[in-house]
Amino acid sequence: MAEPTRTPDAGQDGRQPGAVAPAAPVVPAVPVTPAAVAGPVPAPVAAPAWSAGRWLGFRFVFVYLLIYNLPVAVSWVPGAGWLIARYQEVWAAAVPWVGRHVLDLARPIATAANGSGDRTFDYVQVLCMAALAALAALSWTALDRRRGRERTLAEGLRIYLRYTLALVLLTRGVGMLTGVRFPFPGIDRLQERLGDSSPLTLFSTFMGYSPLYAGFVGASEAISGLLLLFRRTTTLGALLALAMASHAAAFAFSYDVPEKLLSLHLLAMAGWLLAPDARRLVDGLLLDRPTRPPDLAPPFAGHWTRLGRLGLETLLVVYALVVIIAITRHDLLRRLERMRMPRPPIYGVWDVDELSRNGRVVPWSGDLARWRRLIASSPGEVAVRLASGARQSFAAAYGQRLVTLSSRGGSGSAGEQAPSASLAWSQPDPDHLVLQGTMSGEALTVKLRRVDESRVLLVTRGFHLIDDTPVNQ
Amino acid sequence: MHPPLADSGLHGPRWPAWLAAPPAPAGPAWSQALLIAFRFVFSYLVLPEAFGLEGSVWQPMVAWVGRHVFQLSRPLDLLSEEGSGDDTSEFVLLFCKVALAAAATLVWTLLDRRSRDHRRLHAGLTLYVRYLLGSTLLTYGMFKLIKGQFIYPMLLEQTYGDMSPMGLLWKFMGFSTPYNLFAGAVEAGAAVLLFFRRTATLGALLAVAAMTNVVMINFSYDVPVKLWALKLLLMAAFLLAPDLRRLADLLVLQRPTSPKNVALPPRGPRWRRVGSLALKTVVIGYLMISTTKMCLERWRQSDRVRTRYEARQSSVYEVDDYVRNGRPVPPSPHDSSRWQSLSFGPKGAVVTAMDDRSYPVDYDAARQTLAVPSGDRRTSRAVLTCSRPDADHLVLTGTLANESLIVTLHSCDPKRYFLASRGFHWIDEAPEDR
Repeated sequence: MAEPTRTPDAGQDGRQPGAVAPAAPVVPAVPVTPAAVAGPVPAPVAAPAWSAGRWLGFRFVFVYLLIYNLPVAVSWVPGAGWLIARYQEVWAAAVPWVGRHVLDLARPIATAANGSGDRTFDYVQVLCMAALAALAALSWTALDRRRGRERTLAEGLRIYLRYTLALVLLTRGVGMLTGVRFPFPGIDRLQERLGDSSPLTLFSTFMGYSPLYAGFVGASEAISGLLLLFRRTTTLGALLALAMASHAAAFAFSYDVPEKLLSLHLLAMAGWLLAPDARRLVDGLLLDRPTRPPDLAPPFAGHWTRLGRLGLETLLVVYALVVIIAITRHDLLRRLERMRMPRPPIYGVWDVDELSRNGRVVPWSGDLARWRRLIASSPGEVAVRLASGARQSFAAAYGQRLVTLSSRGGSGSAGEQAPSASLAWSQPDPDHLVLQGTMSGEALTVKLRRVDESRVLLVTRGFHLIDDTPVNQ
Repeated sequence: MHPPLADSGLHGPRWPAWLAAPPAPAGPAWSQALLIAFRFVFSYLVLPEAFGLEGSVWQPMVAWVGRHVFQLSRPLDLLSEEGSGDDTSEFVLLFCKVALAAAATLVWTLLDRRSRDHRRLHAGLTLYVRYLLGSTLLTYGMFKLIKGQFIYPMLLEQTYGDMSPMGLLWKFMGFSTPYNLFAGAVEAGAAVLLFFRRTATLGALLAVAAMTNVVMINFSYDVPVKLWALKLLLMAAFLLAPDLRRLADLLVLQRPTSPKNVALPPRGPRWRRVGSLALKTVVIGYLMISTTKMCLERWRQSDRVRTRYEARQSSVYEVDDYVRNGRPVPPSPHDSSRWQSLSFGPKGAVVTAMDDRSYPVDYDAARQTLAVPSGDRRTSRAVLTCSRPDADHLVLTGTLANESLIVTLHSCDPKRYFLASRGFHWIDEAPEDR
């Protein structure tokens, strides 16, 4: 990517003629001389050396973001997965130690990854990183007395942030575009009551229902990532990334999405990338003042460094394309795998017609814990709606015409006491199911009838360009 | 607050003081295509206002066009209270407006052979669109800020499958106050920025972002406000169009940019300056006050406190006994006539039958009565009397479909629903995705 080298005052001398002519034809146009443009803007002076406080603050941010983004940065390197694993192992050992000995936490910190980015582990890890960065910044300041490397270091951090933030945004965006992050709600979810779900489930059902909307959000994130890959489009990319990160943070804080720490970090990183442009953006967008272009001169001067940079940047961009293709392929394969996932032999939504315990038929109104509906959506799970409306969730294991259910909890007071059962199943015809076996010491026979699970309103309603009878229920 | 450039004498001839309007700024002539495009946009946005916005003026035309041009068998009613902004009559109305604007553009182009540009008209139209879009966004934004647009979901026993896509959106938005604050702040912020010429670019940029999201949501979740949302988005895009070059220079091409308002009109006589300032203050003040007043009314109608209280506290009553003609009706899973529960919300009450289907009933708090639709098509109404033996119980008596009815209900534990009790958590040891 060729970057024209500019001197800091290129705004006056190096600009192309007509570049500042107000956008003809709609904007009122008065000929503007370069002097008029640059007039109110103070002539650039050599940036004063940073104060000690600014140096310290910068070094803290430098080290902190370096550590925080390290796994993402390393994941740019092919075949470096083992390095990330080692790095995570170090944290998995260090964080519980800090929790026990420094923070004096009563409970040991769990280190298993489970999809949440807001575990105690993550908070303590962030705390450790901040402590490390503070320590490093202090000793760095004490040991290093050289001056005049501000630009180089700041530019180095900027490049690092651009590429790591871009990879995070691209991965998230492609995940939404391919439908891997928010799959369409399954039959299990469609049978779930709104009140029984968590805010996170409400969120993922909302996003999963519409591939169009999730794709729109994903595309916006991916585009902001793409724009960050190029120096020239970094401002626009960071602005878009700031908007998307605020949106993600609003979701995270409103719907209990466990990426509060992540979205705040994304927000801060986008803000950091925008900071050098803040003055220009405020002048151009808010105060309607003239702006001068940023100094795009590379911090590393010299002919060979320039050639090297050019080569390196071209390589990086080509490589970025390869990485994007790899992410997309990975996501598409995952989606394919999910589509091909075997269905349980009793897949479907089943209404309980008759239930007998120890040979006696339990009347519908007799027992709130009586099963009302059974939903088998995935091979490992069976959900049961009780007469009370509450829901029990079982882990299911299928054998030869046999299903073993073990309780996984549920909602409401009945959910906690869900027992385990081993039931033989038979199907007199495709629309009927009989379960027979023992459940907490009682003989149990359940006769069930299939419900057409695809006929629910959310699935059948569809899109209406012309909508004479809106349905909001 | 004008930039220093405004006083630097770049503005050509001074206009006589009596001519209040700003001078047409000089500049290259517009291309023929741009002239025609502008005339169309101007006619489309301004002509309907000249006719009056109200549907009553358009109704005869829409009905006629629907019958004779589109050969629709069903008469179109623009004024129907169906609540859809995307019904057939709205599409026909759009067709009429576009056709009228095209005709006006044709006549204008034939008659007006002298104009090189329409800079002054453009300035006027920009002003009009800024305030129109701004006041609309202000209303939407403030409604969200008081959480008056989407209320907390009241039917927590509804399954996801029984919701319509629009219902899913309403429940999603209604659940979270913080998210409404976020969305409302963006919309109201864009509106305020649009009211000032200097900040209008940022306002239009923010409005484009917010309205793109709204348009995508309306198309994705089958919300019948697609045409209106698109119109607002296009208005924001119209405001942003002259700035695109500047924005590209500023954000991507990294070139120097000049202020948008380099050619500010001459300051004019003192009375004009004071007068325009006073007018601006009055207009903005009026918009702010009227919107706030509307929001306050809305607040009183379904005030947030009551909404939250009723939705999160004890608004759901479950049926204990359902006695029809003196005989108790046992619950049975597919019985669509026997009730399962009764929920009270800010907008009325809802009955859920045993087959999990729900329908609205009218609750009259003053008379303590419940009007229930009856009959096969639920067209006739039966009135039941409510009595409360104690705080936790409710008894309904009356006649429904020629049968006497006594329903005994008890109030439910407010916290029994996970969604209502979950709350906010800084630390999530595991994703709570039940």
